[in-house]
Amino acid sequence: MISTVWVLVITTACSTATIEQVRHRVVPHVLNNDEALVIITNEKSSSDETEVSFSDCLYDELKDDSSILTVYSGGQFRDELYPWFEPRTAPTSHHALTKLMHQPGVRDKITKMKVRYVVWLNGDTDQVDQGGSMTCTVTPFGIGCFGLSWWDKESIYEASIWDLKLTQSVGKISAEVSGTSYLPALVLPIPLIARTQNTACEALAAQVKEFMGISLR
Amino acid sequence: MLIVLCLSASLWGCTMTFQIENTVPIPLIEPLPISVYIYYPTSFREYEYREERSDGSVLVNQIGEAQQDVFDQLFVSLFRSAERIADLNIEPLDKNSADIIVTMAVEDYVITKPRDSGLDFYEVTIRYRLTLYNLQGEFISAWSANGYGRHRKTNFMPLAATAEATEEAIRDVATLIAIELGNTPEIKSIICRKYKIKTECG
Repeated sequence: MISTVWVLVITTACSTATIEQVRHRVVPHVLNNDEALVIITNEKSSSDETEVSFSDCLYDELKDDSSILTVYSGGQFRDELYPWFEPRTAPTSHHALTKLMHQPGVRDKITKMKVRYVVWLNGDTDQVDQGGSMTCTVTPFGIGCFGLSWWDKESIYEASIWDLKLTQSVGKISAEVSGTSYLPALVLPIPLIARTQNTACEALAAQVKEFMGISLR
Repeated sequence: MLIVLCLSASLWGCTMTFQIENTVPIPLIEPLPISVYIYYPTSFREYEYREERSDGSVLVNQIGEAQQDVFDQLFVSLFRSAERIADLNIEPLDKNSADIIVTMAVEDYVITKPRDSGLDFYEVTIRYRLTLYNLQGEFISAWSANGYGRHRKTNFMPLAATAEATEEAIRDVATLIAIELGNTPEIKSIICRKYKIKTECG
């Protein structure tokens, strides 16, 4: 009976992922060797501002790929282009981006940095449900716990890809990952964590590379 | 952000002091064709936010030094030249070295906590008052600039998020001043009068 419970718990502590990709143009987008990519979070909304841990994860996943020579983080890019990509001034439309590119110094700086694509991130990870119970006691022989806690998490992220050369949005990629984590305890608690944010990061990174034609090089 | 902690925890709690730092880069803007004298009153130079909390601890955000650095750096980029003056005594000032005097003051500073907003962020709103005087010491105009910053709360040292949010709010105000000050009627009028640009000034 107990072994059956363990098998059920182990096999169900996993994540399910859904990925979608929308291209606005049929022409493939290939990142050339001398071009760079920027990952930037959309900081206009309080309710679903993307976590720094997620944007850092995506940055690391893309940077580690030897096909991509240069990836800038949002912080680096914002500092170089200050004050033009701040929450107050970041372009939200094709028209705003075109206007921004005409600000003195902006086009020259972007050209110097060789930035071709900006990946705007939206979304976050939320805990949507939880349950179970656990009791821990202290005995002369040590501390022991008994019980089972669980919690559901949902990681929903969207990446909008802007081509600065064409000054327009060229596509969107979304990743939705849900998973249940468990914390069973029979004397010692054993966490079985569904890493939804990490799974979403890896899935989104793979899609960005495919979108850019990077995996084909 | 430099954190100075009072480690002598007592029944009255401890004082957590955060030294806000300048995180604002040099802006990528064209300078306005006017020169200014900059004056920061003592209340601005030494500004700090102090909050006595319900558990007896005290939160202190020391902002004065950082905001001086931010606006010194901003004004040097925003104007053709910017020189700090020690007081508003206009007599010894070289009237040929600048066109106007700019002073700064903090009008308001508000922290919104996660338990108040229901969000996972500490939010800071800071409002500055930027006042312009001519070189005869006469008032020209005043302009209020609001800045907003937020930082996600953490379990370890949650109050440190108030300092991060403050740095973001000051950066936001600097952004606003950098892009909007040159568009105000008063600054445009000063430029027009200086260069006698009749077609633009009417």
